[in-house]
Amino acid sequence: MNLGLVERFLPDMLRPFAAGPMEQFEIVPIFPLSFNGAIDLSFTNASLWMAIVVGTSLLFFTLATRRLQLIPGGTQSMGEVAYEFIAGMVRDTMGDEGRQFFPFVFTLFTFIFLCNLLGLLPSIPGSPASFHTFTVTSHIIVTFVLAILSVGLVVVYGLIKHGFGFLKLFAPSGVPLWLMPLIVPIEIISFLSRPVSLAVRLFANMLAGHVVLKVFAGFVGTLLTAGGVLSVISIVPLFGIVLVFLLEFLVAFLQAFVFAILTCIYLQDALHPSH
Amino acid sequence: MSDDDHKRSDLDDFGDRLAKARGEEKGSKDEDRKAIGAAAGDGLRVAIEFFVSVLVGCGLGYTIGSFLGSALVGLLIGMPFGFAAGLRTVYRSLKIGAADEEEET
Repeated sequence: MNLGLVERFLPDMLRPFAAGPMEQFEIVPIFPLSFNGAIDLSFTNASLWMAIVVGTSLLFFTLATRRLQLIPGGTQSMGEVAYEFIAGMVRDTMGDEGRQFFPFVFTLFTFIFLCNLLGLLPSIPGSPASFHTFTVTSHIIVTFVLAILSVGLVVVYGLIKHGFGFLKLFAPSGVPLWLMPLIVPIEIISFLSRPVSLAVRLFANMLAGHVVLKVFAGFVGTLLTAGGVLSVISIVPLFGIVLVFLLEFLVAFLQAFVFAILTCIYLQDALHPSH
Repeated sequence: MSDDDHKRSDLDDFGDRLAKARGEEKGSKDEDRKAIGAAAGDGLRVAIEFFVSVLVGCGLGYTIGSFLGSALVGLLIGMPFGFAAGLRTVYRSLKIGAADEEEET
């Protein structure tokens, strides 16, 4: 291997690695729009990637359901697998009553899964920062809004269906009356921590995974430019990136699954508040 | 024996062998590794739930306390409640996990 040639051309190639591991999470406005400097409604790289995710899922399911056949082709079977998977999950956790929530859970799962998955795509080298690959779910405000949406639905549906009976959720049956002053605050805190833990879990997993990938990539760049034996050792973190990347694929699916199944479990509380 | 019967018995034989091979696979190292991965995932999930419950308890106690005059007292009362809520959440998710496992066996 001609290391001299590699060293001459590498600095240019490695410029993307020179950015810190946190730079990939920076919000960059594409079309700035603000009202009196108080409300910022700019179309950012986060908005762009959310639009890409929605567009991808629309395109995929349009293709999957365009020409339905008894013996499904590749795209149709992938769509059917996704449908069956979520439908089975909704049925197992909530029973037949839960079918009304299927569209919500399915949309939530698809959105989170595609955000996680498309965030793993490599950026186009040399493209401006606003068009770099961006993982929407690595921002806690996005995951928190999704979590609030889930828990908000539980509260609204629970109150509509059971009225004040929904508050039984905070007073489990079979608990002696004298223990209620202790149990009720505990149940309230437990309930309030649901959206926070939903949001933190997804955000932390995505953030940590991408930081690890970037740190490993940084190792490769630093070792390659160091020259000599160190350049050869750079293969080790490169191999590490491949392994972490595979793990991230699993995490992308697993986190979307965990978010969806916990939403189902919480919605079950709205259907039957006394447990 | 007709051709059809012959084919069917071949298929049955193949099915038996496949089922046997799958049965053997279950106890393999791959399955063990998957189980460890799933357990680690569950552990992390439960740890985050517990941590968040303590945090929410402290936050709630602090907020109520600061309205009533002493944020510190509120925080000190909220913390054990958060801790208890964390234990309750962990207990509940472990109970769901155990029920799932029982269903599988």
